[in-house]
Amino acid sequence: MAEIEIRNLGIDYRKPNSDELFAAVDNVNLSVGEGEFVSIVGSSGCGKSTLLLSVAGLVKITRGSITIGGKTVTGPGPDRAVVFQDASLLPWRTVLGNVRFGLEMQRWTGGDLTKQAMSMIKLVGLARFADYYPHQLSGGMRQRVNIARALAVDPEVLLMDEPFGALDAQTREIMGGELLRIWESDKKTALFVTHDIDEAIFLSDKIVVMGRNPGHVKEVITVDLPRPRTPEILDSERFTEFRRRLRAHLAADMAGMHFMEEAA
Amino acid sequence: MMMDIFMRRQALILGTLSLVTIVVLWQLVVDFGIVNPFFISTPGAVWQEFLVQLNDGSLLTNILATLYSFALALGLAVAVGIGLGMLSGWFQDVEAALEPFIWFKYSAPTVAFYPLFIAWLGYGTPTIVAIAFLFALTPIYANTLSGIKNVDRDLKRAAISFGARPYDIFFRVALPGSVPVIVAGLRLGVGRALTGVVVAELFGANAGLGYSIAYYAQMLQTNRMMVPIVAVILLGVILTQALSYVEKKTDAWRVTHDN
Repeated sequence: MAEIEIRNLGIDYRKPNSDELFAAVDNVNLSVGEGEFVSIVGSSGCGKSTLLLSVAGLVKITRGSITIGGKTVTGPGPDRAVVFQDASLLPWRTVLGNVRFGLEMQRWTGGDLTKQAMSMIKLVGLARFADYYPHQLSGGMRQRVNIARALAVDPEVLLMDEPFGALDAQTREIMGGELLRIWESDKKTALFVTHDIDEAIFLSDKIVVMGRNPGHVKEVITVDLPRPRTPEILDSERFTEFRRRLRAHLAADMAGMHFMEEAA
Repeated sequence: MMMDIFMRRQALILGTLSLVTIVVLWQLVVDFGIVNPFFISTPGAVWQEFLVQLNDGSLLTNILATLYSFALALGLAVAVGIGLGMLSGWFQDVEAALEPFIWFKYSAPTVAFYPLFIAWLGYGTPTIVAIAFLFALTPIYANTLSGIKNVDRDLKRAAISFGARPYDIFFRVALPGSVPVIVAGLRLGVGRALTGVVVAELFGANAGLGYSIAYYAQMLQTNRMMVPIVAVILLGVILTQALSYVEKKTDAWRVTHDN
């Protein structure tokens, strides 16, 4: 129902101050099954955020197509919700107001907006902070609000653009565990962009490794670690093996990048 | 926190102290015959004259006349400035169309239009309001424009991802996000509206603090003239402080804590 099919996707950007185009993403083929948690990793500039935002309908597609549950993506839609980094909360609205915001924008008709928002705020463990403003919260709490805002509209697909990128390592680990707990309660199809290898392995069913120039899919790794996952898994031998494999991929990409910088 | 209160109190004490010093010096330079009181009067004489003008009601009449023109001018400037500012901030074509007038306003001294306004509107309140309106308009317009135009791109994108329409982005994102900048423009506008009223009253009015200053100046009555001058200063301070207070209130959410 909510599977994502990406076919021969290409996205061109205009270079700043010129008419020249360059491909941010090219020839991407990817399938995400219903209820699957898929992470996209890759060095900066590999187009992983562009790919995610195009699924969200926020970036125009130049070539190819994206379908969700068989329907072609032409723009944002109520079947998808995006979790951004914490700068995307409205600073003049409280936690409750921010979680209501998505519902208001969608003209949600599923019942009382405040009730729906409050149940999501409880789900992410912020019931006591419903009246707080974003600047009164820690970075981790702000990301809980962002997750609650996205879940409140009850999307079929959850898209996350480096949601924990601005957090410190420890908070990040806690938030990863929290995200899994929340996701496992109703297993929405999830696409998750990160540059943190451990985070990707810990959370995902599949990891998409992307390369640069132009952004393309290098490999899709299936993470067949058992669920539900606990932090102990981080020290297991199989986890370490996945980590080694991903590191090798990214290191090769980084080496190429340095070489190009020196050549330039 | 303790440090903060201490610092604020210290600033208050120092400010008061320097003000008192100036007043005492003012009295002393006259008492010791260093400066002729005709030029600067004395605090004592101003106080005496203040009581006289308070009791005969002329001070209150003049304050009310000035406040009346001020309120009209500011009201108009707020309506026109915020209205046009919102349009310009949202529609690039409107901004481009209004740009030459804004450059005009920035570079040409508004008082230069004074004789023209007198020709159109006659001596008195309409001309005073028109001048003060023009004084106050620019900062209110410019701040509203920049607030709406520089809508936070992350917030806009988040709103669009939830299906926001342009109408939603204007009223739920751009406008609330602009409130602090608009209020800052209002604070500047308040000071400039008051300046505009008093300047215009100096030249052509039959009531108001500016008129009162000009009147006593022509009579060469420095003591009496000082009373409306002090009143204008106090009025300006009170109005601007009130707006600063509102500014701080509406700006509270902009505080950023990196924790």
